[in-house]
Amino acid sequence: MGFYPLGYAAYASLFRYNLKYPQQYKFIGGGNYVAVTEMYYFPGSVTSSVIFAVIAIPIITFASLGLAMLAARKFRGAGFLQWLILIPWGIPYVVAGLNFRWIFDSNFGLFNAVLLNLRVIDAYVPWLTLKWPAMLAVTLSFIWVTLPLPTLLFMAGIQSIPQELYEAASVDGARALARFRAITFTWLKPIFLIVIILMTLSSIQVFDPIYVITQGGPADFTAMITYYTFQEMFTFLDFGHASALAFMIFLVSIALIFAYFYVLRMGRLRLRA
Amino acid sequence: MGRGEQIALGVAVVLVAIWILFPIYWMVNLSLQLEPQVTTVPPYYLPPTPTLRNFEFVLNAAQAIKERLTYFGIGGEFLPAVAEQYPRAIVNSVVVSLCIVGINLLAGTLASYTFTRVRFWGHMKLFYASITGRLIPPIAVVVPYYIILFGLGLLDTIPAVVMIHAYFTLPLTIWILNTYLATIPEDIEDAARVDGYSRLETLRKVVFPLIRPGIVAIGIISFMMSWTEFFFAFMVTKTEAARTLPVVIGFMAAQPVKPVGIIMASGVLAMIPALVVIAVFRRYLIRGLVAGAVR
Amino acid sequence: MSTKKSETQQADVSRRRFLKIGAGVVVVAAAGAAGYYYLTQPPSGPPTPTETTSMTEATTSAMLTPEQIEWGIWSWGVELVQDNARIFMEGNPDINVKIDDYGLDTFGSGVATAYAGGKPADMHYSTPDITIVYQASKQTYDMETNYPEITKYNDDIYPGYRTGLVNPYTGKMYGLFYYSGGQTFAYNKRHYEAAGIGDQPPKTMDELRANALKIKAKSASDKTLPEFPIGYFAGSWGFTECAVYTTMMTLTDQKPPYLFDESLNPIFNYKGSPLFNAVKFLGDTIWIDKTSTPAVVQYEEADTVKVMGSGKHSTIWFPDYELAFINATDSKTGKPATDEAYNLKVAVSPGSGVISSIYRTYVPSHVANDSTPSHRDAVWRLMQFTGGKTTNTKPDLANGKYQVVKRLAMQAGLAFPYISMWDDQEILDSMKSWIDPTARKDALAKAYDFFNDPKMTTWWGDWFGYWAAGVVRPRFQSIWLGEHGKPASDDYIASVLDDIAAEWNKMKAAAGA
Repeated sequence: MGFYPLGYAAYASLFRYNLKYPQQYKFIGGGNYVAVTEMYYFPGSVTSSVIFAVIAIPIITFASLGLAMLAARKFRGAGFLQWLILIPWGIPYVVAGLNFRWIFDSNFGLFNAVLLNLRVIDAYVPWLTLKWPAMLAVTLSFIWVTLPLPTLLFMAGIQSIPQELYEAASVDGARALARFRAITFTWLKPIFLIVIILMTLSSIQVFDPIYVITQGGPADFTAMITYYTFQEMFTFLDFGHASALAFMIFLVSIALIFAYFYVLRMGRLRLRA
Repeated sequence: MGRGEQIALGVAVVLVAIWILFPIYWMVNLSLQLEPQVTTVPPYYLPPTPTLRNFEFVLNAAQAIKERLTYFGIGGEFLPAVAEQYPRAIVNSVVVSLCIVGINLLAGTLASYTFTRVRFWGHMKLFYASITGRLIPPIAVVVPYYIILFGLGLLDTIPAVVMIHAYFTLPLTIWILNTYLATIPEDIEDAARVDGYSRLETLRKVVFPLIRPGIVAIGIISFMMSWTEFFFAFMVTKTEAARTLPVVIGFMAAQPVKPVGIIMASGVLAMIPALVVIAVFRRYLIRGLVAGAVR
Repeated sequence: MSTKKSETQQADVSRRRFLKIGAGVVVVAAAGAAGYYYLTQPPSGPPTPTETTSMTEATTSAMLTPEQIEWGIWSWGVELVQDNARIFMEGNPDINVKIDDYGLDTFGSGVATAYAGGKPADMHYSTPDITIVYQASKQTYDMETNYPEITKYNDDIYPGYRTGLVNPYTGKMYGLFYYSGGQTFAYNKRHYEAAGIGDQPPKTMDELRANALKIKAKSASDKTLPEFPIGYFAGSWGFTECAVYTTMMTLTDQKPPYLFDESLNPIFNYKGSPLFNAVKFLGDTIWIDKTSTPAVVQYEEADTVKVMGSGKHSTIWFPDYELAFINATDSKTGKPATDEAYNLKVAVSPGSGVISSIYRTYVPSHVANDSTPSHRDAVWRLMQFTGGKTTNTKPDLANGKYQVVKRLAMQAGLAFPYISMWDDQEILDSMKSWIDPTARKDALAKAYDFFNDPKMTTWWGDWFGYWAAGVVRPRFQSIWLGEHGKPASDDYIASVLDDIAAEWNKMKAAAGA
């Protein structure tokens, strides 16, 4: 069910298919791919996507692991903590995005008000007109919403670690760090891999926060590759370009997944426990 | 645990709580304020005159707009007409999400069972194929989907949205259930067969109870994914006939004048089902994902 | 272990029941939802006409089902549009109008998809950069073809706007205006007087710049004056107007065209060109004079109202109808709606003495002409109601009134291209409280149509970034944000102009391919 559209996208990417010039419809092979890489936005867009991924992926992966370990401990209120952690998952990106957008608003935002109060700044700063603050606003809202899912996966993984292992290890005199490395990390490795893959895919495919917070950002700084694919399709109405971009994103995703497998030396994904 | 550890734990929990609750508090705060109060400087940390008017607008915008038409424009409080689509959008979201849950429960379970138990030629390939659906970036799929739906005349209809949501929730469902099913040794089923149960009965009476947490988990996961989904629903819907709640919220963001209080109110409404579901089904969620537990 | 097992068994049983109930609820809810869905499907088939009307003229036999017209709009004032449609349908029961809202920043794609699918609305809003695309692919219909009386409207339209209604590929008039107005220059009289400048608007750019410096200096002691007097509606990076043209036209005595020559080759990429000066002007006022701030880059329409209303800037170029929101009184409290209410005045731009015009038109698509002549008549009747002269919703070129255009003018402050409307005392009275009719009329009469500089092309919108994205906007914004020097050097600005000229040529070639 997924392959037919993908195949269609690959097929469409080989044609000059621009809704504005329907009479120009013809086969051009790799022409779209070449044109897209030469487009004025391409280097910037790729750079922005990479920056975003490099910031978001490690933060989410390690924060979720930490959160999961925190929530897996047995203490009063652990259940409440687990509920808390999972809340952002139920909030659509657009809602969280708009929330953060308003917090960082240049004229009425909470962020400005607080910083002014603490005398960190002496006048309101239009944060979303500055490159890095805008990028961080988008990243922040993305992290806030995405964090619960890997945390959930890790929590499930941690719960599946048999307690006896820990007990045996402490009996043998292993310290906390060694216990963590030997038991927890090893056991969670497959989940770690899944999390990294899912997070990478999500980061490449991010669209919603950009659309509601910065619409591409100060001078296109937050216009990631998926946002420009959207522009190609809906503003420039060039379906050929859009399909080419989409297919390229797909290829990059697959390549990254193989790379992850290789680096983490997992061999074939163990899908049957 | 030692005192130091306890304190550290407490601090960590508080920090996490702030991280999670602060944006929510802010959203609720704004949703209870009137528009002029929202735009005061510095902002109010608690609504000075809490009012449910924003929520009323969300649920009954048509009336509000009709009243406003008499003094439209100059000096009047702006309310985009898109707000009229809210009630229908909420209904659409509910319908779509429930359909997705149903589809995932039925089709996902059956498919997963088939993949693990029934050895037909190419079953592993089909399995990998169904999972890969998850790996294809949505953007790569939305263009062809749009064109296909357009050709079928299904653009802007609920079945279209359901179909698309099914497309990207099913792979995850199958994957999770697969992992879960794989831990159930086949001997149990063989024993049941020997006792005279048919395949379907085996499925119902023996296997289901064992994988129940997994089923609940995927039900919840697919509900969440469908409820909060924006991108696809945004692309394939045009009017309130099929628009879901996130799409209408996103549209409000693109209005020339953003009524912040109303947007936050709709955000709060969008959040509530999720909160409830998570609270009720939390344990099942985690249990359902635990594969290979207690053999 | 065994007790634990039975405990879990107990728990199992109750959990089983719980889940059974839960599953049952889900199924029932799904069924109910599906039922609801089917029940709420709109009925197919045309609605029956009301019984209160008698048969009107334009009917042949069996005219029982009304003519179904689709009117495509974007999401602005939708309730007003629906009300207008209702009024029209009441007066014309043989026509049923359905409104298609293509959204705001999805407007371009919504319209494109509709055309691509062969089912665009009979008549839809349009901006010039969108109109040209469908005229180029011959998918629109020119009203003049079958209704030559439309050209009589030209007599009542200012010359500067007439080109907006002509299809460049056929030379015929295609439709009427939805509205037209200008990005006028607005200044805060109170600020000017408080800073000792007087109450007259600046006549040259040097004056504008000097005035801003004076106000800034005075603001140190007078806290009601702004620190950054120069405002600019740079339009953010989402959907919105982009006012580079306005500044550009202000700064120059050069006669138009400013950007391209007759063969559509760029003529702006040299130091000292009008475009160069405009970009440099804003950069310099932000980073050298410090009479403006980078925040202006983010202003959307609503923001301009807020900042001018709160007195954050003294001057700006923006659509003249914004004044209606600023120079207003809150109808509920009776107090001024903004801090600077009634202090804002409009004028022509310093320098060139012209303003840039904005207009939106009604474009008939080929669908209007694809079925029966009576269908086409119906579309023409709707267009005359929404954009032309009618009496009681019936077309009346000789003696009618511009019903909808007048309503938009009076209720939303939109400007209009029709000369005769300036004689209508009602309209003048409705605007007197927030804008000086003489000044406004004067500015509008001197409007320059930057959509035809010298002519619109199918790729202009993509290149300029009129609706979104684009080549030009991000680069200019990057300069104004100080990302390439505070301010950017002349050489850098010139190189940016070269880059965008190269992109223009690339797009031009691709379009002609």
